[in-house]
Amino acid sequence: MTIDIETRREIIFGVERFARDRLGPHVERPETAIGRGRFATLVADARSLGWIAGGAENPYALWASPDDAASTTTTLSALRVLARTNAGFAFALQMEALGTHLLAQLGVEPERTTQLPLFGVQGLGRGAIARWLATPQEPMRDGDHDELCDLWLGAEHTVVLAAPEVEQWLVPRFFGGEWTWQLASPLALGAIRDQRPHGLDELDWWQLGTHGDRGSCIVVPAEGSPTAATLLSTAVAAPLLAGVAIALGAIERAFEAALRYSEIRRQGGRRILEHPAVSSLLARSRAALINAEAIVESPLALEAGALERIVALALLHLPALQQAANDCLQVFGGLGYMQDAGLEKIVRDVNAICCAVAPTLSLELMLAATFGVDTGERRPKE
Amino acid sequence: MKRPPDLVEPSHPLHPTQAFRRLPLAARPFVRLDSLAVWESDTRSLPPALGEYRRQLRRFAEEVLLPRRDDGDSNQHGSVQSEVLEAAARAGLLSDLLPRPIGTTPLRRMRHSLVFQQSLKMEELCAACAGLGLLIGAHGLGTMPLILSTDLALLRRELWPLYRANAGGRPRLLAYAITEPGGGSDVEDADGARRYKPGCVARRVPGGYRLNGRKIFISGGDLAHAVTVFGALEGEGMESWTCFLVYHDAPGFSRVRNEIKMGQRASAATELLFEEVFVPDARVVGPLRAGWALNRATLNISRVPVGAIALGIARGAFEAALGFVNRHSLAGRPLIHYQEVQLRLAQMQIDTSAMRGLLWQVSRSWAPTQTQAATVKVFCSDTAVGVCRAAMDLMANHGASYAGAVEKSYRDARLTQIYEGTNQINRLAVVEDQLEAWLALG
Repeated sequence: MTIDIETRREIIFGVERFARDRLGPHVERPETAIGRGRFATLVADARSLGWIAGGAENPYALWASPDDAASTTTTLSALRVLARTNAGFAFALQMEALGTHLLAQLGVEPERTTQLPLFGVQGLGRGAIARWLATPQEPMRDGDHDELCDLWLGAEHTVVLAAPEVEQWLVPRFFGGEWTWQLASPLALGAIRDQRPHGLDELDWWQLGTHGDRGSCIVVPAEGSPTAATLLSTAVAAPLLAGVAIALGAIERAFEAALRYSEIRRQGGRRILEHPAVSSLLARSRAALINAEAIVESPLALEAGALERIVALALLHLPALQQAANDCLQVFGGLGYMQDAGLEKIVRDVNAICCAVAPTLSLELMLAATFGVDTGERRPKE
Repeated sequence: MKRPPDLVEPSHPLHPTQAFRRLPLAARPFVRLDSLAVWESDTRSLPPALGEYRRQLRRFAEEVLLPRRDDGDSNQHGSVQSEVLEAAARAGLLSDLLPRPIGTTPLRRMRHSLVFQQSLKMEELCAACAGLGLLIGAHGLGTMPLILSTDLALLRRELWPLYRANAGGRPRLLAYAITEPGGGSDVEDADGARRYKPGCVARRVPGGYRLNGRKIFISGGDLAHAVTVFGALEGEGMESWTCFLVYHDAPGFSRVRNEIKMGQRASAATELLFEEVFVPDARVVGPLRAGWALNRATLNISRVPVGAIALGIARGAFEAALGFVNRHSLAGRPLIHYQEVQLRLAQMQIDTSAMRGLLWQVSRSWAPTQTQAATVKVFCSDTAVGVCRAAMDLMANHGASYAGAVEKSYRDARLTQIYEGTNQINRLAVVEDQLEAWLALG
């Protein structure tokens, strides 16, 4: 299903209104995380607006049709708009929307709220997953099997980023030479919540040890479900694009604040904006934002074969955005380092996004895997 | 830990350890056959007095600071701070800018520059915890104007009692107060200062001065027994800046608030208020109108240890990442067995070694130039943030978890790009110092 430009405009207008009227009042102090109760209410509001809905029949849902360029771009624009107000909220919606979408694709009618959380996957199997997605029908390279088995729920110790108050996690798992999908909850998995995460303070960071039940609630795909490769490709690629869009939105807010400050604050008798020492920081940030914007607002479908491009984009843009957030903080000098200014929270949030969705180590290995550097004789699909 | 099976064993004839043995005896002095850890190797390269000091500092950091790191980070005013300060005082770390018998530094160590000693100290302390390291180190910053005043009567009267108390295990801290609400960079850069209207002003009264104004972001200001505070003389500009020593119990002196910082949280950044605070003539530090010179001279010394703070944080992040990749595995192999992981570790090690090389080179001087001090500060702080970011990246989700320790390192490192003059101001300090030379070469 595709959406026309009018529908897209209507969706983004609605998201902007929500961000301004509903979300905005709770983040007037940008340094303060939204309280858990309020956060849950806001997410429930988003659900009632149809932003989280499995199946492609609802164009207003985030990740309604990842294989459609217009739909994907609309989702990314919406996440960007929400992240300008609060990155954690945008991230929570994207995880739940994606989990709900994938569950619907598997043909399961969700009885509980579901999300696709982000696991610390230690290099996404050193590119094994990218190799498997490039050539799912071919025999695996030595070592890839074991590496795939250690991903997601297969990892012994991992850290999981999840939205709070969402009842179940949908998690892929490579087991017995095949991909399966499991439904789990942090409590059943014996996870322990990290009380002091680096960023995205509104979300939950779970420490997953070796205890807990990891073998239950396997989802049996309904007949006619997309292939494992299609679903897995979406599960890997969508968070990467979402990460860029959410970081972009968060840093747009930081940039606006830094620019405003530079127009007011004086040093040496001049506004600091007039000093190249400061204006160059702002210029670098702006360049990173404009470049990332070109990605987020360009039609891009999560179709087969798009993973290489998406990984490359994330590899290029996320570190640049991370630096842009830092440059905005630096404009504030000592004030930027203090909680009151709100900039330090944005820097932490963007760092957390980079850790959770796209460590450059993972991305480099995945990209290398797609063009055969690390794949022996195999070449990428045409 | 088992070695990666695909790498050449040290016992293999092609491994350098074995290959070098086949060199002629005359060539042996030019090659090293050991493969000590960098810390050990660097320590052995130091003069004995400094090497021994570095080992003492590491022991202190691991025994006193490391176990209290998490508590210090989460509670700015808990018992941790007083425990650490008492231990630091007993260990002589709060009275070490002067030799015995006034201070606690052994005479044989005083053959080496104070900057080198302080740099070694800050790296070791901050490798364990930069917040607690700053808690101890900021006291040295507050002390520097007194020492640079070289006013023996002032030192005997004001500093000696504080040092005696410190050496006896009763911490008496000094804080350094320059930053004002209207001027952060303006009070660290001549170009800005020229046009800056001072916010902290001293009015002449019989027997001394009345000080009025605010100072912000003062490290250790919450616990300071006294503050070396800089103010302009009434009716004059920054050229009249003068340093005053103000005790915590002086009427009119108050601590307004402590900031909530991104990192280095164990040490508070405090806003100080001076309302008609009387400072007797005897507590004017250095000559009148010498404050700007004292400030710039202090920064030229202190920016080098700030580089050491950054280095220590980066080393701490590297060591945490090293622990992580040794403990965690993928597909049955420890992460450290994978080449891409080894390469990241190697780069972190290279970066920290480059920082230390520059730092130690500059630290050998008793009087680093403005260019040297700013160079160390900028290079080390920027590189440290890069190392911490690389460590977080290597650890992925674990990198963003508090338990992984490197997220704290990142938060801590970020401040080193800001305090003691932002890195932008430090680059301008290089320009200020070098411009004549550059023009002459043009």
